[in-house]
Amino acid sequence: MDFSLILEEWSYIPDVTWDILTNPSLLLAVAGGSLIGLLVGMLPGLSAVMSMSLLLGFTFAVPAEEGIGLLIGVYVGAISSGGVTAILLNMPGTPAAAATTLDGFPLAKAGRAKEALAAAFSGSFTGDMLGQLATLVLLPFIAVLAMQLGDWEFFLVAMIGIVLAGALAAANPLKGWIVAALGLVAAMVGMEVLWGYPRFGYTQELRRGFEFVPALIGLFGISEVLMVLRHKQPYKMQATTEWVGMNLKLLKEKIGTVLRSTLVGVGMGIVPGAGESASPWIAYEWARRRSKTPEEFGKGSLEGIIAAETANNATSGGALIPAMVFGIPGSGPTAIMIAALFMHNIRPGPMLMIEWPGFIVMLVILFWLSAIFTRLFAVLLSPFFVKILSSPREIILPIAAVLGVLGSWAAGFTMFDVYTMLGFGILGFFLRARGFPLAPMVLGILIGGIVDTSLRRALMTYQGDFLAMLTRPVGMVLLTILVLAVVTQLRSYFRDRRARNVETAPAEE
Amino acid sequence: MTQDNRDRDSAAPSNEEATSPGGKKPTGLSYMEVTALAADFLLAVFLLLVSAFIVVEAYRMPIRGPLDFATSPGLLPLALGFISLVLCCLLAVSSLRKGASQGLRPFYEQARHGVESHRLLVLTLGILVYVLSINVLPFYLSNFLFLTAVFFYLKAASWWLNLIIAGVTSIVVGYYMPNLFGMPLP
Repeated sequence: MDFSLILEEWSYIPDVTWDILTNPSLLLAVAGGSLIGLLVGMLPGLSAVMSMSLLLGFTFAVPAEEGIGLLIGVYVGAISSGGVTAILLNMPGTPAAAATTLDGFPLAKAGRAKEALAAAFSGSFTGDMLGQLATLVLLPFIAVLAMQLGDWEFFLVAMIGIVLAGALAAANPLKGWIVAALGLVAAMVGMEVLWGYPRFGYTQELRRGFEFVPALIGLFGISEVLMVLRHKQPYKMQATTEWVGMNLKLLKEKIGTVLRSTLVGVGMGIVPGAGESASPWIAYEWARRRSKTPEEFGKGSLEGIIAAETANNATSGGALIPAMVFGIPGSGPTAIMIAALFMHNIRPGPMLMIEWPGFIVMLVILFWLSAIFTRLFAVLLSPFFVKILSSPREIILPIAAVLGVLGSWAAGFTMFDVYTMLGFGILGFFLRARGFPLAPMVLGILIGGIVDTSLRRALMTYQGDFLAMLTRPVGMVLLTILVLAVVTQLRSYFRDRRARNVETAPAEE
Repeated sequence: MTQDNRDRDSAAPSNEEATSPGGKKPTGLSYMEVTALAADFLLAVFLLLVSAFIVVEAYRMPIRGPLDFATSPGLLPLALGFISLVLCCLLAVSSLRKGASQGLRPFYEQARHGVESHRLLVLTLGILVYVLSINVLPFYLSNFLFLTAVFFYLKAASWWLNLIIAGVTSIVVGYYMPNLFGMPLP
């Protein structure tokens, strides 16, 4: 194992930082993305992943760095600002901010919205910075280890990702696994690479296969438009028109909670499917147990807000690790980022550090920069939060649908891509409406090709000698993890089946 | 969860106990729960049919490579289609056991008379017509007609503001943005 690669990657930090800071168009893209993210994250119904998917088609037209910078800005901005809506409306702007409502809204009702917002800003900023720092340290190590993996091991890693994503992203693992399997099959439509056979190639367009950009825009963008606009939802706002800054004193006092929540965020980010939605709840519960004032949790605890917001932002750091090392997204937004990288011919995987030296460092610095821009815009815009939250979604979402059509068209300049978007959009709506998570399906679409070719190439390499395949040490460990993951999830499903309540509400993405 | 509220259809009282298809015997589940189970069942059946189609088509794919089917194009689609088929069966049976059959009629009534169902249908058809119209109308005109129709249907703003926003957006999205990014128009 060549650990010198790790030091080499870190050695790019000064140069990459200088390059980014002296590139006005990149700074503009990150700042613009942060502002867009901040605004869409605040509006309930408009999520990070939706806005990223809509912008994905347009990143074709700009250099890779600017495109990625824009998407990272949106990601960080949206995840950070979801807490604003949670505090002022008792309604999470993004699913990641759901735990913030527990203490944020009671504080706002008590006339302490400014304090709650300051705690949320402080937590999310710290989560971003520390989460990415952990990624900068861990990611190169894991990438060097991953270079030892062959086709068989890669197939197993991808399957572990699929199984975990399917099981953890939904209340019912069956639903997660069904959509994951269908996502994998969707990726296999079209010409396969080993023998040149057009699978499901009934028309000329199907022989080309589904482009993942329109599929993603449909699944995340159009389904969201339908999901939100099908009903009217009145707001009840706890207003604030004051400037809101960071609360550094509170951060210092609650440093233990901050560090524990960062750990939870990064750890949960690494697990595909767990994503930003689950980590704040775990961090919140951990903080409550360790708190000197646990009785305040749920009634208006600033520590609770810090725990939830730190964890959901730190998750973005953890999610980068499987995304960049294996090409397996840890969450919906990282799936969009992988798609954007593919569009610019940057292939995430163990060889990323060799093929694109300094790229991982660049990503981390762009995340840090986005966190700074987001906080800056959040402070500047804080007196206008009430006005922003009053923006009618009946105007924004139809425009988003039009942008989705244009973005899908931009993927290949064929109407088939637009039809693909529409088909996946309608399918995505019905799946979401019944609690089927979309993240495993997207994961399947993104890694279907790798799974297919890795398995069959491995079988050909070993000429069908399954014993030789199964007895490779790393492969054996991975296979054991895969079997354990399937067995434990199935066991818990059958054990809880009777006790589980009927799922009347769809799962949040 | 915010979507608890979203799913609540105005056509259906959520706390009432559902009755069996015969109409008399209470099931013990609420109206919301049986309709949710029926929706689960119907979606599981649809996905089951899709999975069955995948299995049949994958089985018909040609045998290629030194290890016959193990290296053939149909290997993984067949395996995944089969897995999905089994899981869909489990889901369908599980929702039936919990009482999905009793929710089919309420589900149908809710889908037919619910305000949300109507909005969903109109919006979906609107997007479909919009996408199809791109083939026959100039892109900016399709945008304008779609946005105007949807804004008026959703009562987004006053009539003149609806027209102004639709017009400005159509020009920006239908003309300036493609030019800015150097892409041909649909």
